[in-house]
Amino acid sequence: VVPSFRVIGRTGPCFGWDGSSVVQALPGDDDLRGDARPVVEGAFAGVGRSGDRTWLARDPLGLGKLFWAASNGDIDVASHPARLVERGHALDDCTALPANVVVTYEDGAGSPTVRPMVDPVGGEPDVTESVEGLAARIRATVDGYVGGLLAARPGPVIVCLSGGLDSTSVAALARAQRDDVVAITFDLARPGSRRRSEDFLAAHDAARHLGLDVVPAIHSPERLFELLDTVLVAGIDWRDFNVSIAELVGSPAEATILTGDLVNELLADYHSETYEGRTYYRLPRLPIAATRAALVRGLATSHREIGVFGAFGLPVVQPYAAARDAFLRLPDDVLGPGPGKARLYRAMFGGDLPDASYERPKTRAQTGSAVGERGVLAACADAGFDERRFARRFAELHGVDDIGALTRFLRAGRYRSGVPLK
Amino acid sequence: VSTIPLDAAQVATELEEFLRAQFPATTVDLRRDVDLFESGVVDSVGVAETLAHIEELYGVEVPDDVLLSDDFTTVDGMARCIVELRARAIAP
Repeated sequence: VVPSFRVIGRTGPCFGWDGSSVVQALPGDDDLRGDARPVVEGAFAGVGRSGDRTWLARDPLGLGKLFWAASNGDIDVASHPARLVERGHALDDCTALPANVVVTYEDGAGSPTVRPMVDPVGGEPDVTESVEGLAARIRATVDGYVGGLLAARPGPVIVCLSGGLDSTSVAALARAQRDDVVAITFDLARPGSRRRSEDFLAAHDAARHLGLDVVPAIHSPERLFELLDTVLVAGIDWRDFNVSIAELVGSPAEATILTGDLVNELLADYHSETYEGRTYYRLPRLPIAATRAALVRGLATSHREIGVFGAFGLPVVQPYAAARDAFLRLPDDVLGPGPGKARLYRAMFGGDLPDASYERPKTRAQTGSAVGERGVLAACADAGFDERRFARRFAELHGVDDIGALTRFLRAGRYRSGVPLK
Repeated sequence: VSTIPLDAAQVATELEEFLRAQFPATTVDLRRDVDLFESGVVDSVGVAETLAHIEELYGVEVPDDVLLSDDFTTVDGMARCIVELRARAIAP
């Protein structure tokens, strides 16, 4: 018996890539028949029914989110656990569909068919493919992806620009397709100071180089804190300052928002931050390949970009998701916060990006500057927001008074996950 | 993968030593029945380190269903999981 699926609210946007075209609807029924698997990268998660089949699907990195809970023999499905909780389910009964999976239910059949969306990249990097070769593959993929996307979406194009390599390169990709691309750049309002963050200034330099108009989004800490509940629910995360409220920006309807997200995970070029003697964003003490694996694995949890923007009706696209496979084949010497990233980007973009972008040290969006002002991180810490407070509030918002329910829901970069089997 | 079955008590002893060395700043009384996640001994980064340690030392990968199980929250429970995973791996 195929369970009946009831979608609560709307599932998230679909921005897939099948290797040659942008996919804005989930794989169709025809794609799910037979042995041929739809090879679809990007971000999507949802449920569909066609004829005598019902299917569930989630993208390879788990960027799209889909949760389910059993209800009197049927299955409620939602993009956020909070929607299921509103329907009367306990957080302990909410389960995520695993990443990289297609589940097909057929009327009259027994168990559903569970298949991976793509074969995971594993083992040793492909030594036959040079860094320059992989760089060319990444560039060709994101060129094709952004080109196809913007051709299909004629509305305004907005790039979240920090002036770092990731966002500047995405701005360059968009600018190559359209003349009307706008950059939006965030900064925190500092009482009594007109000084702007390094990100803010670098974003203006990069925009000037690329010929983009810049819309500054300058918010007070108080305004960001007002939005905390939205961020916790929509971001489906409470962990240590992972709530990227810095990225909350206003923009017009029907826009396509582009970001340079994911490269930091795919290249593991993060570093920890220190504020007032406390370390934030600690990285695992592991070899770089294992650190990268942990960071990439963590993408399946937290919805801090797509989900948070989605709460404001804004569709976010992360073009580098389309090049997941090539990124994961890069050798260890390109990974980490060293010079490997600049080498990779020079191979990908050469003179298309301003020289300053290649030379700029990595800066987290939550700090905005490599030294000095510490941005949203400091504002949160100064106001007494810490992981414990975020966790308590997340629990309240999901009808839970037992914090233990949170560690049963999310652990080691994984939501509690499984496939409805009835 | 070694084909030698593991002893849960031995594994628990080793794991406890690893956790004490890896997270020396914890103020929690690290008994073997303490919930490592609820107590805050192991955070999301720490569990990545713990999983890597388990994989390297015992040659077993911890699948998601085990990782998110109630058993995989304490030193004793983790040890039982590792013994079971090793037994599964060497079963004919």
